[in-house]
Amino acid sequence: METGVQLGGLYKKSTYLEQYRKSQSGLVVVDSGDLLNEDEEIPESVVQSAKLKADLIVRILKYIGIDAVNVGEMDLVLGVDYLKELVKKHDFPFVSANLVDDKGAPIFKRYVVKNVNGKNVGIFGVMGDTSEMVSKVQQITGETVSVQDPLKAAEAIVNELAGKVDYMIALTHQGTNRDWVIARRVKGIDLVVGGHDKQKTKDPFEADKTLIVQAGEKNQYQGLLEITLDGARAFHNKLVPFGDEVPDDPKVKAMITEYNDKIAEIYGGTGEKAPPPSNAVQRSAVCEPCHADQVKNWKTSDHAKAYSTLVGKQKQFDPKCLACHTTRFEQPEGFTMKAQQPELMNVQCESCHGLRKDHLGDATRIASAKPGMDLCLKCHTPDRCPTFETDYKTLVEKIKH
Amino acid sequence: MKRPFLACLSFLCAAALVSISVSTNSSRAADGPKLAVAYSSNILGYLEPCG
Repeated sequence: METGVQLGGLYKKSTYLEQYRKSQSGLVVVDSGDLLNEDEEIPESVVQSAKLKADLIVRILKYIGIDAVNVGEMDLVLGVDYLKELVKKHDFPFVSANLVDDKGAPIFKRYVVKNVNGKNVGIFGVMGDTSEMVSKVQQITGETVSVQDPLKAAEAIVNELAGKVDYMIALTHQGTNRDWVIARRVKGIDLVVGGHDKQKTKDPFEADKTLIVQAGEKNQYQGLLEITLDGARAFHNKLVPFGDEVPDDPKVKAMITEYNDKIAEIYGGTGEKAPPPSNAVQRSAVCEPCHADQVKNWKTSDHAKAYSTLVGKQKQFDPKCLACHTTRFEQPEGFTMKAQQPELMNVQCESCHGLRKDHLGDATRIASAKPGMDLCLKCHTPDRCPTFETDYKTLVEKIKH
Repeated sequence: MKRPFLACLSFLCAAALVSISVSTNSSRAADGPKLAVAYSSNILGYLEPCG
């Protein structure tokens, strides 16, 4: 991947699409799901901020001019009722042709049709029905939602809209292998915009006459496919990286700042800011009597300043950030959104070596004396730190203790 | 004298018409109905970078 590509470039997405609309007509904006959330379970203390964030993302996408969003299983984690509330409150275009309630009725709109340059574009959404996905959806929704056969659901819509649309887009959430199946088996789909397996298709796959695309994850890239609607169906596809060259949209930035302030008010108390890490006694102090040199080295490392980098960016109440900038986030005896313990800010001894209690009771018991790269990669992911794995040996030297 | 002149004029007119016709068709192909699909997936709740 290119370096300098940022995670979550919503304010860049807004600018890019606005600029595109000024120069070209005929734009349709879609998303194939897992829009609002990343985790299968949301801790109770994080639910409020997760819902506020979902509401914000929906408002931003409405402002950007989204036409349709397929429902992914991670969106369902917030609760079907909450998603329906968002649809109603913001007239948000969630679509799903094969998610049904306990009576077999569709929960969301099955499709939308948009007129573009005098041509009708049909857009529908489907989720994959692998046993893994079906059981995950049942578990997440308490068996109130079922996943029907995506091929049958797609066929039904293609037949229903036959002769009424000039171009048919399937938003899928099932992985690229199954996208090939739907593209080949359901005649009448022109474009499959995939999701779930986080692939980046610089060059679209061509399954007979159907194109298959996907734009990676975490809003680092904007996929853009231009197609002529004549017989030739010539196309041009690109993945636009959201780096510094795309300016921020100040309006979207202000919406995010408002959200940051709101969660600061909820979790930090009105007018209160969390104490700077340098003023707080850290949990590592417990380790210091026996591991003085190690703690001394740790104090000079970036791990010891991890929390303060969030304060500078006003992100110290964002659970997505706190997970890697505090100690044992939302784990037993770890940092929690609710308590906001100053002694557990930063990436301390327990982040890599495990809960101290076992070790304090019995010095021979330690969860992880020499953690390996796998542990580091949980936070130093390739999208955040593109060269981490290749630079691992050098980087480990920096925190050697 | 008139015949060669008329023949020449007819040829030029025909050539001009063909030329206009070709460029119109070409222009139509280039400027015909177009669709642009801006797509994303797996945004996963990411709003902006943490730090």
